[in-house]
Amino acid sequence: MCNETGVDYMLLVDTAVLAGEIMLESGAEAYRVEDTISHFLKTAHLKHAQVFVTMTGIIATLSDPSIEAITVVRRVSKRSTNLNKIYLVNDVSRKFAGQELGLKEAFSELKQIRRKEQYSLAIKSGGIVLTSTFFCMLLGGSLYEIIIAAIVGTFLAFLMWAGRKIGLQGFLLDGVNTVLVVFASMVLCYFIHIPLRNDMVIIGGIMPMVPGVAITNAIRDTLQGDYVSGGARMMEACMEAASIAFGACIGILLFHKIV
Amino acid sequence: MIIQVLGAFVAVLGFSTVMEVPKKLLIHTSVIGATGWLVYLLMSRYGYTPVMSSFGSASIISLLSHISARALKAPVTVFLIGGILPVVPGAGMYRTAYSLMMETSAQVYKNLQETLLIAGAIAVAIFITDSIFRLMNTHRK
Repeated sequence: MCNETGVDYMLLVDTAVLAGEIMLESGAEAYRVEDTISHFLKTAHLKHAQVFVTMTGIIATLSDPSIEAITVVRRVSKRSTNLNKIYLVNDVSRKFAGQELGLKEAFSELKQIRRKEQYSLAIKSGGIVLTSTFFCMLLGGSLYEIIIAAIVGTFLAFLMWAGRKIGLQGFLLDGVNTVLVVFASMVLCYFIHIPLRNDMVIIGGIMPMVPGVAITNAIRDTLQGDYVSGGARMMEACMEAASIAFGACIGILLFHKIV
Repeated sequence: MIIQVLGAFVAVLGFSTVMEVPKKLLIHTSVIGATGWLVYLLMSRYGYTPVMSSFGSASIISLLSHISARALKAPVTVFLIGGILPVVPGAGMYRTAYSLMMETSAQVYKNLQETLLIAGAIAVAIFITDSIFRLMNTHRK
C-alpha cells in the first residue's frame, strides 16, 4: 500500500503494533505501550493516529483523507516479565524517531528482539536461589537461617521449573509453590536442632513470587489516568497476594497437622 | 547492617535476572535496591515505623530509578521493578497469613493493616516521584 510519498503505511502500522505487542507481553505499563505505538504512527504525519491499549490487547488505527484507513487489532494473551525486551524495543523506537533507523530495519530488529532470550533457564533458576538466600540475609538472618533459605530457594527454583513443565502458571502456580515452600521450610527448621526463626527462611522463600511487578505497574498506570489497565493490574496484584497468603495458610496448617 | 545491605544487593541482583534486566544495567539496579534498603535500615534505626521507613526507602528508590533512566536512556521500569523488591511487603503478607492460622484476630488486623499501609506507602512514594518528573518534563518542553 505505497503512496506517492513512498511510505509503506501498512508496514508502519505493523511495526508499531509489533513493538507494542512485544512490550505488552514483556510486562510494560499500558500507557508506555500506547506512547511507543503513537510515536511510531506519528512519523507518518497523517491526520489520525489513534491507539488504544489495555492489558490484554492493542487497537491501532491510522487514517487520512488521502489513504484508506488501516486498523489493526492484536490480542495479547501471554504475559511475563522481560525487562530486557522493553529496554530493547524502547531503544529501537528512539532510534526510529531520531531517523537513525529505517522502517524495514526497525521491523526486522523488532522481530529479532521478540525471539531473544537473555538468560538461560539455569541462570534464572540461580537467580531465584540468590533471591531467597540473600533476602534472608537482608532481613538479618543468622548464618544457619541463610543456609536453610538457600536450600528452600533451590527447592523453589525446582518447583518453578516443574510447574512450568506440568503447565501450571499464574497465581495457581504461586499458590501451590507457596504451600510447598512454607511446609518444607517449617519441616527443615523443625528437624534441625538449632534455634531458628523460620519466618526469616519462609519470607526469603516466598519473595521471588511476591507481586512487585503488578503493584508497581498498577500504580504507574493509574497515575497516568489509565484506570482500565491500572485497575486490572491492581486486581492481578491482589489475586497474586491472596494466593500466596492462602498458600502460606495451607502450608502452616499442613505442618501443624502432620508434624 | 553492612551485611544486610550486601544481602539486599545480591538479592536484587538475583531477582533482576529472573525479571530479565538487561545485562549492562544489572549492577545499576542492584545498587539502587541496596541503597533503598540502606535508607530503610537507617530510618528504622532512628525510630521511624516500618510504614514511614518503607515510604522513605521507596521514594529514594524511585528517585534513583528516574535519574538512572534519564542518564542511561532506559525505561524507568527496568530499574524500578528490581530495585523496589526489598521494600515489597512480602514479610507482612506472610505474617498476616501466619497470624490468621496461629494467633488472635487482633494480631491478624495489626499485621494486615501494616501490610496494606506499606503497600500504600510504596504507591504514594512512586506516585510523588513520578509526578515530580512529569512536571519537570512538561516545563522543559
